[in-house]
Amino acid sequence: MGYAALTADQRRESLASFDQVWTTVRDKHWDTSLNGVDWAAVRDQLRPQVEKARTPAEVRSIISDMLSRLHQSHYAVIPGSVYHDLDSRSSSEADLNGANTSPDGTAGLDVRVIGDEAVVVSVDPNSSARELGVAPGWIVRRVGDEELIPVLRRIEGAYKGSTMRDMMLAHAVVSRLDGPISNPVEVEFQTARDKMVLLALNRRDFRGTPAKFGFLPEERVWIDTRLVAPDVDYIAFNLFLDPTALVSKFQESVRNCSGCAGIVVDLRGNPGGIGILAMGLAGYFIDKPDQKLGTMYMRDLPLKFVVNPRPPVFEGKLAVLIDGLSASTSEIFAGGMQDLNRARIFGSRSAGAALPSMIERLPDGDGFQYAAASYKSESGKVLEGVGVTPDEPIALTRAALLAGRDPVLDAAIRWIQQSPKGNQTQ
Amino acid sequence: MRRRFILTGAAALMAAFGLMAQTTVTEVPPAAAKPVLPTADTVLQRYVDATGGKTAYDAVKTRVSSGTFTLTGKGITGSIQSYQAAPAKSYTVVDIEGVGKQEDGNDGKTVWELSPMTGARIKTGTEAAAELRTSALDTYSNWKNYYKSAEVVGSENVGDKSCWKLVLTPNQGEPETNWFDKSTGFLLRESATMDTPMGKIPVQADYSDYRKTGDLTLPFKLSQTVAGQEFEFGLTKIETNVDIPATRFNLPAEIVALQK
Repeated sequence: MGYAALTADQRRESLASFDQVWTTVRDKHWDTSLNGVDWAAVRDQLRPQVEKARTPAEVRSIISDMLSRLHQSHYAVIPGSVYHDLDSRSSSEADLNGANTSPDGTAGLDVRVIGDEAVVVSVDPNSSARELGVAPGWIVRRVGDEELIPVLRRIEGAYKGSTMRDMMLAHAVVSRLDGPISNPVEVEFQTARDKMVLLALNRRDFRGTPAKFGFLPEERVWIDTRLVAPDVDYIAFNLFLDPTALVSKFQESVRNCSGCAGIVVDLRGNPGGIGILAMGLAGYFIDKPDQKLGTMYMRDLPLKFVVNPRPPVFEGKLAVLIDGLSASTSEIFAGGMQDLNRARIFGSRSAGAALPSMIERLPDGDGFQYAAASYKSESGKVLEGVGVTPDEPIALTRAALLAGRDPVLDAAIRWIQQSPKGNQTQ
Repeated sequence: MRRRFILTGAAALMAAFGLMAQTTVTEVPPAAAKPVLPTADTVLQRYVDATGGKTAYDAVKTRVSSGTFTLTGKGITGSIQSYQAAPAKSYTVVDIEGVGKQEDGNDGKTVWELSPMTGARIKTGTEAAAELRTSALDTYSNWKNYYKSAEVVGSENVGDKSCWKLVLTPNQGEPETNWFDKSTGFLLRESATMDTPMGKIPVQADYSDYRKTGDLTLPFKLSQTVAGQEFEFGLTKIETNVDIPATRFNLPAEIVALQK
């Protein structure tokens, strides 16, 4: 079976993509020895193959081969078609002119892909979804006119074996649910009783306070604190941003519960933010100076993530909840506190994106992911591409969600209440 | 004027986003004949004279500076207010949009920093010594109070300016390198290594936009490279011998709590 050769434009774009990947690794890899690989020789060997390639898939395969020579995680080529699957709004989003200038809003649903099903894990109390009876444990089958199963299968294939699988799958669903506030989104659900229902969900403003940081798009930051048992405080927040407001509320919650048996910090779904905020929050739980969460290794120097104790330091137990959507600063915090034996970690393995693994678009439309530094937690564990492994792995199940339970939080509360107070992590 | 306004936390903060930049010193190609080097005393005296003279420096008891802060190329900006009082008290607050107030200072004894991101910290050892040294208002006019030796080690360009390169060894801490413009006598660049709990962090500070303010001529622009991140401070006002409330240099409550 033969293929038509690439067009002249495609060939030019393919070579430019190859060159961009090769140069980026040469100039930005944190290890100037490039893990001992003769990078110039790799280019000399593989670039001629790109010149002869007949399909975009062949080009992608050659570039992937080049990256595989580094034997390191988080170097990947993402097919351009995946961007559509990851980020597209449903086809009902476009208005008659093919564009919609309405600000984006949320359908108020948080979702995790369990097995191969997109399962609702939480419903915003102020959402139309809640008003219409949507509940945790329901399955999202279709958004607009797009069936989710083929989308999830494609992403599953692209991220097979990657610690970022859960994150990318959930993102693919939520990015379809969210969209222009002016447009309701039509969603087909499988209910608790396994009936199919079609609902039109109104979108509303994202929860939280707007926060701006440099060139990052404006994000909404929220923090939720409450007692989940008479002597157990619970703190959850969605991003490590807006330090002044976030730290102030975090501190207030910790200090108000200074006599509690324990505190649960819920980082499930938290993709990170400002890296050194992990050090700042750790200071509420670490009373000894010179303790480190880990070390970031940049090309020019290592930076130790040292914790400054923030007296009065909380002396009770600390449980940290994570899942496959906990990334970056969340992993720096969870992994470091685990290594320091100051926290017990509950949930499922984190995203293994402990660093700014950056993604650039290539001239041929594919994506190129690369890590700009290395990070090791205090025990010497590399988190990038590996993630934080919970001390107590607990899988989320649809049955638990339908029963109105949060098995991860339940386990953390149980541990805090049952273990002797002096033994902080066992 | 010689406050480095170093933001170690901010350096790490940006590193977390992995965007790094680097500036370099351009070395002058070796000349056929080795240049005759002046003494360090000569170069430092030239700087003091060019910027107002020792009498003018000795007359300065307080200084208040204000301006803007920019993290180059990252869209992060803020404001800076800095207070200094002889012999070496200081208080600086950099208010960064999206981050909050980064404060540091000393009351002549205790050197500290306070950040919403990383909390409160008392600096010790060579890090504290460097802070006290760079907070002084007479670092160069009375340099022998702060450095045990100074030596001109060569001639190098900073940009297109030919400079004398000096290595100053402080009474406590690692040597620092300064570049003084041969034609104007001004300090154009400083390079040092900060010994912090996060590690030894190289710092480069470029000084420019010298303007006369009162009896002194001082740089209004500082461009710094810390851990590969580029910061810029553009001062809009420098006032000398203004009244600063005595409480300005009091230790914050968070620092006092650390002393208990």
